[in-house]
Amino acid sequence: MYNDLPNLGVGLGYRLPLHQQTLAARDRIDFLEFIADQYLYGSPERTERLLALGEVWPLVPHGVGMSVGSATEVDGDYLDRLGALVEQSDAPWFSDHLSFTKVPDTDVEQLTPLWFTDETLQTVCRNITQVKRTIDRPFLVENITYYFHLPGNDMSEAEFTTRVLEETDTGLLLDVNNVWVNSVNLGFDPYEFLDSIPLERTVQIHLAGGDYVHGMMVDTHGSPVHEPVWDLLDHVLERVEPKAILLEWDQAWPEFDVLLAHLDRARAAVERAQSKMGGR
Amino acid sequence: MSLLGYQRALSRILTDSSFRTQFQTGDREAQSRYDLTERELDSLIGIRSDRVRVHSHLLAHGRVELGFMAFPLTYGLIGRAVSDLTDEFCAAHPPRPEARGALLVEADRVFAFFHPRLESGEIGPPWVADLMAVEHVQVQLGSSVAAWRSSVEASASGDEIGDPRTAVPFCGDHVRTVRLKYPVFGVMSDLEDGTRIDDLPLLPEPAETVMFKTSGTPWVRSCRVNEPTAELIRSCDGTRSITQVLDVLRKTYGPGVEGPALQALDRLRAAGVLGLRRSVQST
Repeated sequence: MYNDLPNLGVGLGYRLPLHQQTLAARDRIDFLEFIADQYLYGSPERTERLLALGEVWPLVPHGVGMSVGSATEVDGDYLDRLGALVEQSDAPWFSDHLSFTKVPDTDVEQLTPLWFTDETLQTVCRNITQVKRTIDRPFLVENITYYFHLPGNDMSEAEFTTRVLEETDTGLLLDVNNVWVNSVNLGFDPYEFLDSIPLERTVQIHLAGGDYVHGMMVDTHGSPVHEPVWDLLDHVLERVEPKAILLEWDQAWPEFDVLLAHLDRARAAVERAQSKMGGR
Repeated sequence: MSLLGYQRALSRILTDSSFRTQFQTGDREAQSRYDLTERELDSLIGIRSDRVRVHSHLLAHGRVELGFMAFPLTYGLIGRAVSDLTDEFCAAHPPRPEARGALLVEADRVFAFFHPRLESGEIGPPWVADLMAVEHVQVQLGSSVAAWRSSVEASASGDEIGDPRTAVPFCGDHVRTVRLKYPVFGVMSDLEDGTRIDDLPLLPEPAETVMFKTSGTPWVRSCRVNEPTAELIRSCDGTRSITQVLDVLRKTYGPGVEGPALQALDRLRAAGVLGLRRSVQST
């Protein structure tokens, strides 16, 4: 389905404090993903420095502020800026989250869960269509973590996600850690969840670590990837061959070698799955 | 009602703890504010309050982190203090609606809250106040519609000074001068590279720096200028002819300032800092 997209390998979320270590480890990192929102309104020098990294690695913009789940349309100015950045970075694709972050009254500014109803489904499909019409590159949506159910859904998250992807013909950025975190907090079987969404639409995978905060497992991106998440990754890789796997680590950084070891482990997981599948 | 009403109510529940308590404990006035259907109301009342509290806590930290996306260098230097002040920040700046990008809104709030604390020495090394001010101007000029328009007007204006009695130089919303006590521009690249910088020496005298958005691009440029040039830029407010601007400068710096001022005027026009229009009135 996404055969034409390049295979980027195993990459790292670009974070400014890790700039030097990232550059020094260029041979062990296959691509970089950056938070697009940090560059939409930033200084030219900062953007130029980011784009210069494109001479070393493929760059993939990943957004947090598009809010495709808002009842209102996606902000046109935001899309224009994002489109320019996607173009400048020559990104093979770009992504954001299946959530909402703002409404006219309040800028929640955090990935907020959607009420999985028919009305929300129509709204999200409308907004994704707007995004795809504005920016002429493949767009991926990512599953989020959330910490409470919104009662009275018309459908499950899995069904909602499936219908969004299929009705808009959009690729999936599958955050395996988010699936696991939700399964821990909300009490469901993560394997059942994975097997009930169209995994064949997976273009990219996110890996990250979480921590317990106030008794809940929180997607902090600040600790090693948990073992059950590695197991889920194996499960996915035995079923699909994503174009890219990315480690997100945003705070509480250990020695950089720990991050690189994570990338090596993900690479090994891909090779193991490929050999199992007869070298797809 | 509609999805919009549901999301508006949910957003308020997540960002306003007193409203959340009222809403979920059956306060009719709180529940009637969003004209929700019975199904929507039941859904929102049915959310587990203990889970919402955790989510709200994470949200508060997320807001501050979003705002600091506009100040990545500053954040690298005062991150711990930011975390300690998150609750105070959220109480001082609730997420009220603004018709602008969320990052810009939070960036302004974060600046209003943290910059005075840096200047007073309550948090961080004192030179970080200058760094934060520079990052703030970069974000403001890079994203402001008025700055975009002004930069285009300046670059599209006349090339020739012509008669200095009628030529009116102007700079607009795309130009800001900042007065810095520390040489922060000299270390920004190092900070970008992750170099640790603990201290900066105070400059012998505060340095005037002009920051301006370039036409047709999102770029914000900056250059250090001397005091007369900064005064020249401030005098070019679109109401004075060149002759009148020179008169202002001459009063402060003496007759010798005229030649250098005209040269500076030319350079600033070429760089896109200043524009030039013909006055309709003879001066």
